[in-house]
Amino acid sequence: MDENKILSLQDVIFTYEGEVVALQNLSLTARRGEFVVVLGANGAGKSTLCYLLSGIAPHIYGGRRRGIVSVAGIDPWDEPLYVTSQVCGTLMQDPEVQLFMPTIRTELAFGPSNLGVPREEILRRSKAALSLVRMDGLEERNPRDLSGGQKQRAALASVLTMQPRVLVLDEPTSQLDPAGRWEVGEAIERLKRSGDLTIVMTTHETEEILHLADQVIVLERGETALMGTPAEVFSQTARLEQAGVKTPALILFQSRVFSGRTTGKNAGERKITLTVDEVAQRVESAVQAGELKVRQTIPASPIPHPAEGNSGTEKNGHTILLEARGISVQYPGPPAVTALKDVSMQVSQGEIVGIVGQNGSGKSTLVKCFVGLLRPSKGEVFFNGESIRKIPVGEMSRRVGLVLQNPDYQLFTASCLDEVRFGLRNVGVAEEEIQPRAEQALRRVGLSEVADLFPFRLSFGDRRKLAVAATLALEPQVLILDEPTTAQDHRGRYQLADLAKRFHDEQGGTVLMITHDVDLIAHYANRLIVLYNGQVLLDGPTAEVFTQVEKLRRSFVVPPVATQLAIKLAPLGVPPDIMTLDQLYAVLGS
Amino acid sequence: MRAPVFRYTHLGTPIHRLHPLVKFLYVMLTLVLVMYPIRITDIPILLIWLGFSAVLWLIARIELRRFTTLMKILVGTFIFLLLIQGFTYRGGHTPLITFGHLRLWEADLGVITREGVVFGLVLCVRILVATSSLPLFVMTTPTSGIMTAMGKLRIPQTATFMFVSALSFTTLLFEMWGSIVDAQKLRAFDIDSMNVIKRAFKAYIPILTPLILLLFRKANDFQIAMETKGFGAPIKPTEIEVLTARPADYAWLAFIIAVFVTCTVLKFGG
Amino acid sequence: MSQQTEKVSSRKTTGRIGGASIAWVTLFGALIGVTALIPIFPYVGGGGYVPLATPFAAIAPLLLGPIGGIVAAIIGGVIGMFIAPAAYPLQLVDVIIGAASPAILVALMIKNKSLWMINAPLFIVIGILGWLVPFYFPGARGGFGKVPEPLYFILAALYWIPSTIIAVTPLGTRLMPEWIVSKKRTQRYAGIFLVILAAMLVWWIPWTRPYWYLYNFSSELGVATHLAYSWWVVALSAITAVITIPIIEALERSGLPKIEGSIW
Repeated sequence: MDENKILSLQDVIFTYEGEVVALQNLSLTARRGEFVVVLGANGAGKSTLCYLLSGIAPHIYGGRRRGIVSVAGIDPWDEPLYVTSQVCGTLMQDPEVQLFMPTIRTELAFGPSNLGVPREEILRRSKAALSLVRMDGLEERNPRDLSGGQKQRAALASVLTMQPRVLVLDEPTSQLDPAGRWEVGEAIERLKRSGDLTIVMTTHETEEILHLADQVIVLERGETALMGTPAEVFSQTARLEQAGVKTPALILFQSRVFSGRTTGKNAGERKITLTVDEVAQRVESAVQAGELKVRQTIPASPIPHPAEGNSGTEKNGHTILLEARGISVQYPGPPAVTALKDVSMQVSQGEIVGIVGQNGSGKSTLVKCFVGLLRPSKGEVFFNGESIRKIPVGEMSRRVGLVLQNPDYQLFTASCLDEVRFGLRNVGVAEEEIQPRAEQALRRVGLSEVADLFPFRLSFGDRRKLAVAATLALEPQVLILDEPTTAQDHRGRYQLADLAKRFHDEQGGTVLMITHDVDLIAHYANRLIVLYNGQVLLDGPTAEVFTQVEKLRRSFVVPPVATQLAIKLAPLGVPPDIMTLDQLYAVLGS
Repeated sequence: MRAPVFRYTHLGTPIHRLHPLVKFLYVMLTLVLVMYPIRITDIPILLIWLGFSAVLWLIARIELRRFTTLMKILVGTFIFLLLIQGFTYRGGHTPLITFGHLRLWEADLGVITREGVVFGLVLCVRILVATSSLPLFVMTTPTSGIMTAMGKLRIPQTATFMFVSALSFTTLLFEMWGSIVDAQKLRAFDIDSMNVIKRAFKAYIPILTPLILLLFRKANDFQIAMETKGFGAPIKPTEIEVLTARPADYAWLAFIIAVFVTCTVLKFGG
Repeated sequence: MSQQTEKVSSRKTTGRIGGASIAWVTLFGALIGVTALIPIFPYVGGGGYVPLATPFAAIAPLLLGPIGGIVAAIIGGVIGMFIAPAAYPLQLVDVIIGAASPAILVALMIKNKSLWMINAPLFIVIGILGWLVPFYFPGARGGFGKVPEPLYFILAALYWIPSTIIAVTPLGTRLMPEWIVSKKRTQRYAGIFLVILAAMLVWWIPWTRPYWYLYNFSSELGVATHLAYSWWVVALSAITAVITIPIIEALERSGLPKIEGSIW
């Protein structure tokens, strides 16, 4: 037996209680120090794999298993969790529930102290773990007072103090903002480089882990769809798409432009270390060699244009629906936090506006002011020229609909239909009108079939659609989506944005989207507002804003890969205000 | 929902540094003291302890607004006590305000007596004494200190863990509560604008149902997080926090007991 | 090891209290603690409000099973004491009377088939003690007046005799425990309401007496409060039942793992 082989699964089949088959015929081997990335759409079996490795299945989620699982010489099925936890550490998505002690120090000590590790050793491990995640000096902080990225790093450190030989990371960055993702990614990278730890990580963010992965496995409905080195797996873009996995944009671009010569490197190579610069250079060479030609016109934009205005206060011929005039918001402390500073903006009817910025930049505060949930301490918000200060939130919901990031904060009734009816009843819609309007709203989001189902049983994506239906049923003129791509896989990530687009196209609605997803903005928004420290940093047509790379960087916003490439290729005559790969393909013809 | 006003504040005052068990003893002695049977003449005893508590608050550098908040919370009780004792105190004989005469057993419910109001004031002081000790403990003792003190009191580790982690999750619950209230407001269901009766019978369902479902869903992840860190292992856990008693702790302990004994002697000895 | 060997295992997590996992009990305890800050219903004697924590503590055994529910209520009470210390002047006494006892009494009522032998003497002891404290003990020595008898005894008996009768008759020993898990909605509503009412009527006695002592209640006020609260306890129980049913129904539909001993 290979002594370095630390993790082995052979022909594993796992079925949850309730007869849900989650994994089928899965085989996987990993050696000491290897980084294994597990990809797949939601429901593909990624988390189940993590549970099997860490013993969570069957100790917390029961079920039936066939095949062999060996983690550092033990079968987690047969050992109690406290034994498995000494060889296999687990970090999950949500940092909130993984931190439960009063200080970082006690949090880090929790695991080893449960195992009776001597105090001095615990302190040594804690110090080392904190240093590894770059949180030295924060020992006495309450985990609740940390940023999202810090929380997840603290949770990671608390796993590391158990000194596992295998680390299982189940979508550790999916609930973080870009800065948080970067911080955690950097910590994982340091871990990877620091030694012998075997890491198994599930994710949807293929771009972020590509350079770290030794082995990639793609799951599809519990079975292995693809497996191999990153170069091997990512060369199969069509199969990845079929399995609902995002192919990194740079690879996708090359496979299309250079007709399958994916990386320019040997397919057998283990790593892919691609950068925008390298790809731009490759394009440049191809253009110089005459293999590629540059057409210097931007193809027709897929982005919608504002509908024509017809009355009321106008801006460039469009009705101004929402307006913020010098609004400031301060949250009482201690310490008091200024969330918005003298922000002014106008949103016209028919616009699709993207709002980006770091957590804490004021995005959520701004939209809460738009719907009347928050009253600015200074300044005024207007809807259709009328101040909303005196309008109750319930009344505002018929004008501006806000769909929050987490649908579970609102769903409580026995059926989807009731959920939509609830809002209609609250705003005083006549009883005979409620049923048809609720049914229509469900039809619009494609949930008619499940109208009688308990909302909690729907998938996360469908629960979000239901929240949209409940909002749209109130027939607002403006729809605001908060992070429409959160916790969605590659295939489902634009479902909500598509609904918003239809609201725009078919009903002339106005849409605002708060997001960290620049691809989403590139595909849907005709205008982009960047908030930074409670102020508007940039505001203009999306393509123009994306070219302001330096200013965007201050707000941790990285333009879409297509824009980055276009900027690099500008000397060749490529228009820099390109936003999507389709536009870039059209400009670069062979 | 208002966030808690009496939260721990990290300061380096002697009261913050004081051994949690000494502070806990002060809290317990306060409870004993306020449960002594009471007469109007007992006011000096209550004032001594209240003064003592005020000194502790001052040394702990607790902001004045926290005390104001405490008074605001108690104002309803104070009004109730002054009125009810004013009308019904059995030792009351000097009319202060007379509305008429309505005799009911021992009391004349039409008259507010001077002795009744004074006794009501004594009771207000009693309540103030009772309510001022625990906030001091909470505001000057970090959870880790409470945790260690619980260990010293031989409280089982599981109970300590449950208490500490539950306390830690309260922040998350406040956030969740706020988000759910906002989410329902966005559907024209505004709990803040409802009257007491409507709120009691109608308002909590759309808030509590999603909250509990969400909470129980999160509970699985919490279970995973603690069990994958060895919780429940049949091993004696290592004590991380070392809580040593300093000479100052003994001095404070002696002082607190001395004040308590003085009060007790004044109460029963005189 | 044979690859074909099938291993089957249901959840066997180490951390359980009663039928509920420690995580569930802890989080529900945190919820009870947090709701100590939410005033839900005014109380006549004392110038304050009953917090949402009290009905929540009462329903904890319905949601988490008897043992898990009681533990959650105790944790919630202690948490409440720490985050709302001004509302807990009697500290641990408040934890017991405001959080633990509603949960204990409800827990005793939902599994009453075999518990009537505990319930009946317990309710009688609580009732008699409630009658004696504070007007007979410490009585005049503690500055308390004389209450009119037999009126006062009868008024106090209204709070414990009905519950004692329920506890020893088939209504309490058989029907109510069946109704609370019934598939018929009306029956279930009635069962939950009656369980909570029977428990809360008895609970009211130990809940009030320490404060009557602390506030030096006059005998007139003692009598008046008994009268005023006769509808109050019913209203609070109704509110509690109204909150409980949708939660129970939602949990049943949720697909979350069932808790042994709970009613969903």
